[in-house]
Amino acid sequence: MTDSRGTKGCTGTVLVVDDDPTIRLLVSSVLSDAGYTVLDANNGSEALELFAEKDVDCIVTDVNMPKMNGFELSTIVRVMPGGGRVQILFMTGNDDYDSIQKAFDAGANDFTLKHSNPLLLLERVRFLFKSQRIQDELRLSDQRLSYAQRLALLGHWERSPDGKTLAVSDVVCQMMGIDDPEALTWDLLCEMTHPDDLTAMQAMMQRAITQRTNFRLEHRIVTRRGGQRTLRHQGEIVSTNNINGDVIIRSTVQDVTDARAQEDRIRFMAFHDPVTALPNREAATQTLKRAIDRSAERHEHVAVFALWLDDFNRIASSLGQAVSDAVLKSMGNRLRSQMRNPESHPPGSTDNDSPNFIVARADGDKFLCVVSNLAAGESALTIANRLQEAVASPLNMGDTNLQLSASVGVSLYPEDGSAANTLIDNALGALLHTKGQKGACQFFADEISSRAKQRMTLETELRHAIESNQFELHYQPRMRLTDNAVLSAESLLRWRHPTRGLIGPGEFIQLVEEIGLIAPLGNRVIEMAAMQAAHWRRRFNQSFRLSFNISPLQFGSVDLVAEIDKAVALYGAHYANLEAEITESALMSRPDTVITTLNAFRERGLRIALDDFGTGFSSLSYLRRLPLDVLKIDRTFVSDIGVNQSAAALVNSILSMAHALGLSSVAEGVEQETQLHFLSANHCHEVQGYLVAKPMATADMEDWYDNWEGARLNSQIA
Amino acid sequence: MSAAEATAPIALTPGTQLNPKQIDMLKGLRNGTLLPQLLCTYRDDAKVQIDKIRAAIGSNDLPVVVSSTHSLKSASFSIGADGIGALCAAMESAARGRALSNGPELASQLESLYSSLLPELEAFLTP
Repeated sequence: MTDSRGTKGCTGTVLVVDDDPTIRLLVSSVLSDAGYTVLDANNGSEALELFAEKDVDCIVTDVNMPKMNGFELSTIVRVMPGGGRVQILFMTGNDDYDSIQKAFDAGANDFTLKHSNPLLLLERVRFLFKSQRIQDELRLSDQRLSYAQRLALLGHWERSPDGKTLAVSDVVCQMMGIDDPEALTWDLLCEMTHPDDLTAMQAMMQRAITQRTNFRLEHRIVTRRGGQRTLRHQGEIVSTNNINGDVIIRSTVQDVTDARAQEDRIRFMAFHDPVTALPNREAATQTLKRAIDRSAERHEHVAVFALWLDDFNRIASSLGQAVSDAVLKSMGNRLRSQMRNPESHPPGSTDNDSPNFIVARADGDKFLCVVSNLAAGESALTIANRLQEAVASPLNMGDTNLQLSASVGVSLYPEDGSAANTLIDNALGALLHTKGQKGACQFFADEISSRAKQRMTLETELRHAIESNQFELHYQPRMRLTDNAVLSAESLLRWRHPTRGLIGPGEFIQLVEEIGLIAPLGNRVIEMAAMQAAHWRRRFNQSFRLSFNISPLQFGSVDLVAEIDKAVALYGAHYANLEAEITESALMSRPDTVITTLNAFRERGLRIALDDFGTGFSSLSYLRRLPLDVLKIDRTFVSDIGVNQSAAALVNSILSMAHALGLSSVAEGVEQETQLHFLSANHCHEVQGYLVAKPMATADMEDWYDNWEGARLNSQIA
Repeated sequence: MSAAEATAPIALTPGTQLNPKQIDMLKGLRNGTLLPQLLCTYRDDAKVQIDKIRAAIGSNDLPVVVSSTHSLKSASFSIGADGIGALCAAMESAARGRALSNGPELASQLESLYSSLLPELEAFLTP
């Protein structure tokens, strides 16, 4: 075995195998002179050793050799590592056709005549190297393509003209859970196709074949392991010259299971309520549109029912979020069960809602039911009553037994509108008209429309106002009667409406509570109050106190203590500069929770005032249990002072009780000197009202305070 | 080539055994330096192969006759010793057909051709 190196252009390693030293020398010299690195061996056995040790690109071999001939050498090399890539050139005799055939069978790439000009052999070797480079590039390209396809979960297949066999890429096998590519036939692909998709898939393929058009189809397969995947094929039909008109079908295939599942989830989320999994208002609107189209053709009637659970927000605040969600879910199921047999699918649904009806959750505690094709003798009122009865059945939620009621608003097609949105708005308008009456049922009438529209407009604006922070606090000072000092103020919520200007809470707070937005708005109030109290502690005096109002519904919906802690920390406020005003109605539901929360306030040094005292229903026993600091006498009693004796007596009694309980007293709505004198004479601690000052924005309040306190101190000095 | 043809005597023309075209082609390789190496290698190896052929014929070992005549045939044609190449081809064919009854005679003929070739070879080998 020898190794010789040349320097003329050609690169690569050639192994020359011949038992004849003359031929070996001749061939090796020619190849070496051309630039190849040449190894030579005397026979097949030596050649195998060299091939295993060296990186050989090409073998030029004789046929007949002692120990191991060229055929055996070639056969063995082909199964060795790197043996698939090496180029093998046989040197055969002029008329040795038998050997040529055997050489190809043994894996030869080419042959050359042994007795020909050795320069011709060199050209054959050069050609083989060029061929090898092209094969290497192709192989690399295939590898890159295969890699990219694996990354993209993209495979390809080609169906033979006879329609039986499929040539498939590895990725296709992976997608289908098949180990052996040869096992995958067209028939097997059809067999694995989901039965519901098979007919459509075959029809589409047949159409593409008939029309010789490109195709794109999607279908599900059931893998051998029982899983289900969704495949997307995109392919072409290629005609053959076959007189039978046979075609080759080529296609890429992509596993779109995850993408399809994602789309399904998005579609479901777009058309369903996350709490109850019922269709949402958009889904109801689309179903109603279709029902209207159908009913217009058939001259049928459609009824839209808007339903809410009476007093639900108040109930929800006492039950907590998780239980109230469960109640809504349960009520949704009950409403569905009252409807007729399922027939159709609302948009994006996977359940069996019928074209005759849909039950949807609009928002909050409102449900929508659409019933088309009202049966003869079946009135909308009957259905409404059935829905109400379904809600009214007792509901057991763990330890709590609930007895709910529902009010319903009804609109009818075609009588109350021909557009889906109009009919839904009119049903909601009729529902709003029932406000205050539990278990009511109201059919839409024209006169309801304008009021309902107003409320719906207000509701929409309110939602936007909370999102875009259109609320601010104004402040009304409280004056101490012993020395006219202003030591505190009440913060009052105002809505700076973009077109209507400043709006007081009386116009919107009840609606905010009804639509379940009191928690975010209440939290914002706490934040603003904490920020202002921190500022005025420095600006006015260290003990200046700012009160803020807490809605009864806030106690059930948020962790008030955490919200206040957060706001105090955020703005560097002091608890002692804050005062929470609650109303007696807060005690009506969940009194234990309220008392626990108020005790937590008290532990932090935050004062607690009972607002609007005298207008509610709280018992004196509650007053003793509450950790109160301040009793605020409602303006209705104050305004009657000097008007009738009983009012004065009542205020006097409240003041006495406050003294007895050790509470500070504040009279609200003080507007007249006579009221002031009476309150002062009866030892009321502070007064609040227009007589002292009206509610003011921050800057005005600061100016007013400076003037007031300046004048007061001057008068003391004088 | 049939076995009968293989046994026919090869015409010998002393002094013209090497094919001039082949020699010219070989002279063109490596600026003529390869030719003496090739001829030297051939001279030595041919002697070995002829001896093996003679012995194999003596012992009627036909497979060795086939392999050695095959090998010598190719080497001979490659340096232009067409006469020896042609005789080896005939002997290989006859041995494959087990029709080598005149083997000793052919071996002698082969030796004669080789002997007469040697001076031609030497002429290229001596500077």
